[in-house]
Amino acid sequence: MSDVLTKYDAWLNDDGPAALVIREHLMPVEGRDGVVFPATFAAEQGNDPNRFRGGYNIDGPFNGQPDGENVCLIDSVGSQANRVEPEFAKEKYRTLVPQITIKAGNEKEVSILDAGHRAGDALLRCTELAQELKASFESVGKGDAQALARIAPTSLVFGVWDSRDTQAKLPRILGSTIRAFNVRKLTRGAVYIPPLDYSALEVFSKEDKETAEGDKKSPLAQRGFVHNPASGSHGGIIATGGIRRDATLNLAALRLLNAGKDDPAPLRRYILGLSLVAFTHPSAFVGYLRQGCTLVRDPDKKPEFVEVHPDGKRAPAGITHEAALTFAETAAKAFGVGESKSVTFDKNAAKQDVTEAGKKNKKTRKTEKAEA
Amino acid sequence: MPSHLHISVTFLQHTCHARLGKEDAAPNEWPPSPLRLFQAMVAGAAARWAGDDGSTRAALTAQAPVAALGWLANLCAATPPTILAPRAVTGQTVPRYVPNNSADLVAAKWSRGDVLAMFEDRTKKVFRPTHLLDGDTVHYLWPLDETSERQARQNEPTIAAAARCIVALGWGIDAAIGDARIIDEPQAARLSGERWEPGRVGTPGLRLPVSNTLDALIDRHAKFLDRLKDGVFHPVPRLRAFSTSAYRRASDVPPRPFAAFALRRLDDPEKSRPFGVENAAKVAAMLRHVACKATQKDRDYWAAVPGGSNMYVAGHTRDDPALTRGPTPPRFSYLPLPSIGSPYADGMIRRVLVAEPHDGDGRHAKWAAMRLAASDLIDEDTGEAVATLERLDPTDRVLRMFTQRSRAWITATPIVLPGYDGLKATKAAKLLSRACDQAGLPSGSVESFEFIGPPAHTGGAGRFFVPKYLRRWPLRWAVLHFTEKVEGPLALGAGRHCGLGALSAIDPRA
Repeated sequence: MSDVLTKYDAWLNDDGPAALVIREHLMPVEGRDGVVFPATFAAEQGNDPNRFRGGYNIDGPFNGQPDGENVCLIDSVGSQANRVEPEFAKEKYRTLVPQITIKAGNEKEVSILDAGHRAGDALLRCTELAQELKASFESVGKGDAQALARIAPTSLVFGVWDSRDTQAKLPRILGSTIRAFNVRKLTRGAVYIPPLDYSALEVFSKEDKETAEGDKKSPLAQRGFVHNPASGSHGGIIATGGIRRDATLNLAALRLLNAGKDDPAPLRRYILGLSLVAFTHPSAFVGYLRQGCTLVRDPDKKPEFVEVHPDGKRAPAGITHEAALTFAETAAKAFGVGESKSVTFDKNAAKQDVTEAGKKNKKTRKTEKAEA
Repeated sequence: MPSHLHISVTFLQHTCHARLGKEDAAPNEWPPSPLRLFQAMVAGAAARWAGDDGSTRAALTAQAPVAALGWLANLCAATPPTILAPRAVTGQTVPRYVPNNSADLVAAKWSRGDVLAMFEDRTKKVFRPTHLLDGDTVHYLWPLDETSERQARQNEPTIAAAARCIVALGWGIDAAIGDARIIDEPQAARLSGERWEPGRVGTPGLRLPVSNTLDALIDRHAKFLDRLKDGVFHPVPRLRAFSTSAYRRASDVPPRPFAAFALRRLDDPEKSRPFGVENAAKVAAMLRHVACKATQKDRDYWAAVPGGSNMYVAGHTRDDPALTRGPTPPRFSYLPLPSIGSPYADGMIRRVLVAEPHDGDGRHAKWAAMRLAASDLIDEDTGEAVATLERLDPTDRVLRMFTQRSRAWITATPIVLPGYDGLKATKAAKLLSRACDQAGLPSGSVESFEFIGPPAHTGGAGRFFVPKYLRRWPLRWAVLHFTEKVEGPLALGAGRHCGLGALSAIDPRA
């Protein structure tokens, strides 16, 4: 057995650390005091005066004072996972996992790495993989995740729930979130100026123009025929307390992956390898997140990389991305990467599934009625 | 040396999304309940031991974890753990719209040539994180006696293995790791975090596992896996095999059970019978008289109460020389409530309440609610009935001013300081501190207070009727700020049992 293959077995042992944690300090590409645009969220419906009115998710101030500490969500766990998972389709990493694509029609092709619900996605239920996936999820329930690791190993890394069928659930091994601290929220104003004075061209009257200007609901304003000012819209934030990415690799969750009667070590090493490649990825989690939000590592603040033991003790740890990739390649070879496939979306299977779902609903309603 | 079973859970992301119910509006659960911890351990154990003895995730049958987890559930039921948790605050409620698992519908459009079709089917998921402020580890501690320690040592390796299988506590995104071991008293004393002590089992609060919880969880999980069986949706029943216990921090003000009544006219019970706020103590005396009279119908009930009705209802603590010093024995407080809280409120008394001491079990308040309803208040001077008592709706706006949760409170009737302050502010402050202690407010619960002038509805302190034995002490008005939100009713001062010193919440939105 090669040294590379067993090099990280201490992380897989029952008496090993429970998690690996990376905390890295980030900054806007413009500079530490640059303006960053965090993710925005829709407003909460209802009449509660304290309801969320939409915009940035800023919690705090925590001490009840207007200038107290606060924290702003820049990029959520789900969003971060969606940024890194497709990396496994790129040239450098594509041999680590089976490349499974689903063809729908003549033009559309979706990788399983882009499917929102991974191996549990409804898209895959309507392909020839359906039965294989069902059997894999059932095996997971019986303590054997090998089959699923051969079709959709990233589902084991980022978590999956087969919500449309077996209900099998696997926890996330890898999580990453970016937050900004002690932020100051900015607003901005703008005005749309039409290139022509349409009222002068008698497209509509001057009175209509005056009425429509500034009225967002007016069709003339909506179609860009009159001046349309917008004030108080999201203007980004300045993070005076810094921006940080907290990434965790939950080794305790990794140890719950079993291989039935077989030795679980090859499976666990394979998934650890994939997790480490994602965990240490140099660019997928940061960089361009959205318009106005390009983050880079802060060169003056050293990132923290520790292993956390079950009793909470922390010890320094570390692995470079290249070392992680070498380990992942060796572990993948030892485990045996599943076959890459291109499967076709079966329209009839989808129709049948929808029809059956309809029948199920009707049947359920009837059952409920009878019970009532 | 006394020992403890110690289970710890360390959050990896400093947030927890656990809630007290499934609905979006359910408040956050902090600290995470012992039942939540138990469920996380069971889920981990089911995966850890899957395959052993032919067990599957649906049926945790391996003997070791079943026996150990069953023992832990019984230990929780008998002795709810003390919890040490980081200070935490609740974040705002933010809805997120996440894709439903229905990509098959979109793909069907693609296969028909509609390549621009997008995922439109999204579902709302409401996020409201609890942010951990000064730490990331929650500790659960069970004190062990000789017998339980022996059993604990037998089960320790399996409990530790199950705790180390914890992968999340709260939602799936609340990644966490666990550990368990038996520790001694000095080690327990070194653990950091706010200390949450359990109350009586059966009181509303955090959920606890009980003897049949493990079986119920296994059964429920099997039902969850079969919920779409045979093409029919089978609703998964809620878990009902648990108990509850109130949990409180040492600095938390314990809740105070009470019975509230509206004062109605004798000739027209549809209408209120108001009394001037200056007569609060007189109204309290009439209420106490009614309560004393009602005890005669339940002599057996009150005979079983320490001190009997003479002490608890009539408040005759001076009858026992041993009780003239030291803490006041448990007794009812009679609190008239002025109508306040709106620009048109006249400050007249139209409502009263009878309150147990803080941390009362609510039995006596229930008695008062049942026995005093429809009773008449009798004027001491004339001997005539002047009002009748009607049970008050708990959502009554004025009542809520006195019973809601708030950090800031203001005197609605004046506090009788428990001593003469010599008109000196420092001495008055000391006396008010003493009044807080005497009222049963835990040390450290009051962050600050300040004396103020009489509120507009009172017309000045000089107008207030004060019982003869309290007339030598000064009347004062004050605003108090607590470290955390406190639930009313609250009353302070030497007159707190007889109608004076009632506090009303200051609405932060006002």
